[in-house]
Order: sequence, then structure tokens, then C-alpha cells
Amino acid sequence: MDLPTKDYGYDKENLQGTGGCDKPGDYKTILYPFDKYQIKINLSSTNEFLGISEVNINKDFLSYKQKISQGFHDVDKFYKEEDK
Amino acid sequence: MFYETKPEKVLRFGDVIKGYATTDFAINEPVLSLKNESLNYKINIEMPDYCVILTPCCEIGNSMISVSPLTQIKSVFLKNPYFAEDLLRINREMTPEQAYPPENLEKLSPEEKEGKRQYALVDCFVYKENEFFDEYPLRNKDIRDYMINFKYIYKIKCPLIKRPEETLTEGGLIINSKVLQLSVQTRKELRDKLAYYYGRTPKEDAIILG
Repeated sequence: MDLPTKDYGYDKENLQGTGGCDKPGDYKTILYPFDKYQIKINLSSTNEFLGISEVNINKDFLSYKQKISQGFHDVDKFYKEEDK
Repeated sequence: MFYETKPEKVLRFGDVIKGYATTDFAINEPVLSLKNESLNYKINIEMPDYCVILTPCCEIGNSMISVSPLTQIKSVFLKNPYFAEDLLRINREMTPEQAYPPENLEKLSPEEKEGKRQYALVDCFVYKENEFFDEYPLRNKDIRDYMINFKYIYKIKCPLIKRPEETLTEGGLIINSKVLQLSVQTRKELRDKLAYYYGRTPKEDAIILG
């Protein structure tokens, strides 16, 4: 079965983030959530910052806050001991 | 059941013990050279009424244990009705609505209020009232519950601290220092929360690790 035409040409280009034409190299790429965007960051094998390869819109249904949930209720600041 | 009704005659993780001093070493800056003329440090030695063993059971021995002193509950915890009803709830996971004081809960967004059950006050573990513990006033209530803080863990060396199989035959003073033993379930709660406290991954590491 032929693939739908929307998977080619303009529509496919439109689904990519900006800067998404990077060439493969000796580095790894991580996806960093930043507000409503997703940023592809290139890191060396020793985790040094090499550059940004792509910026995408975050279409995940989870909010930014939910994605970076710390795994515990950060309530310590509400339970500071009162001054006597 | 919070405490074991028939404690064993060996030291266990989570045991309440007495007779152990703790030391606090405070410095103004790291001691990078002993020739530093401005070397300034302070050592405090304290003798809390009771301490809690935080060395895993299988590691207890070799003349050394790690302990944390039992301290009074912070009065601010009682401003949360969920905690005021039962302070032991601090030891377990809870919903956002249970974790936040009422006046701060109103500021949460609807999606934040629907968050999953997680730990709060991750460095604290509450020990249930017991006849051994002195009563003290806390916001117009008299309570006997106490707590430990995982930030305050000290190493104690004592040649009488031995492996369980050695303690059974040579018990004596060490066993006499044991006051209370946690039940199996409570010991698991302490182990789980302590493991969570140390096992949290920083956000920046989590992004790299994926």
C-alpha cells in the first residue's frame, strides 16, 4: 500500500522542528523540555554541551510542570519553624 | 503495630537506643591545609536521650553504627490537619491535598491538586509515642511522638557493637542500650523513605539519563 502523500514533501518538512537538518556525528542527543518547547541538545561523550540541533513544540499531553515533577511534594518551605 | 512487642536481643535497623553521644563538627571553610593560621572549627558533643540506628541490619557490626537522634516534632507540622490527626502519616506517601497546609493548597492549580501519591517532608520520619518518651507541649497539645531527620546522621564507634551472632553470646551492655524495636512493617516504611531520600535523581541528571 502506498504511503499517504502527506508523509512526503512539504507536510513532512512542516512536522520537523526548526534546525532539523543536522548531520549525524560523534555525539549524543538529549531532549530537554523548556516551557512549551522541546529542545534537542547535542552532548559529547563526556556530557559537554556542543550545541542545539532542533527546537520543537511540545505536543505531549503532560504539562511542563508535570514532566519535570520532582517525585515528591515540595512542601518544606510551608513548614519552616516559626521565630520564637 | 508500630513497635515490636517482643524485641530481639540484637541491634536492628530502626531500633531506638540510649546511651550514645553524638558529635557535631562545624568549620568556617574546608580545611585544605593544616598550615592555615585561620583554622577555625567547633566540636559539639551531645547526649540525646534516645537515638535511632540507621545502619542496615546486615551491616551492623565491626564496632560501628550510624545513628540519628530522636528530636521533638516541629510545631509547624500541626498546621496541617492531616498531620495533626496522625503524625505517622508523614512517614508514608500522600496526595497533594494531604501534603499541603490548607492555606497553601488553595494556590495549587487543579492539575497539581490531582497529582499522584508521593512523599512529603522527605527528610523526616516520625516515631510513635511510647511510655519511654517524655511528654512535651506542642501547640496546646501534650505529645510523646518524636522524629528523626535524615540530615543528622552520625557515626559511632564502640568495640561492643558486633555482628548479631556474636551479640547473642556476648550481649550485655549493648543489648541493655536497646529500648525499642520497630515492627517489620514499620521498619520497611523507614527503609523505604530513607532509600527514597538518598535515591532521588536531580532533574538535570534525569534529563541526561533519559
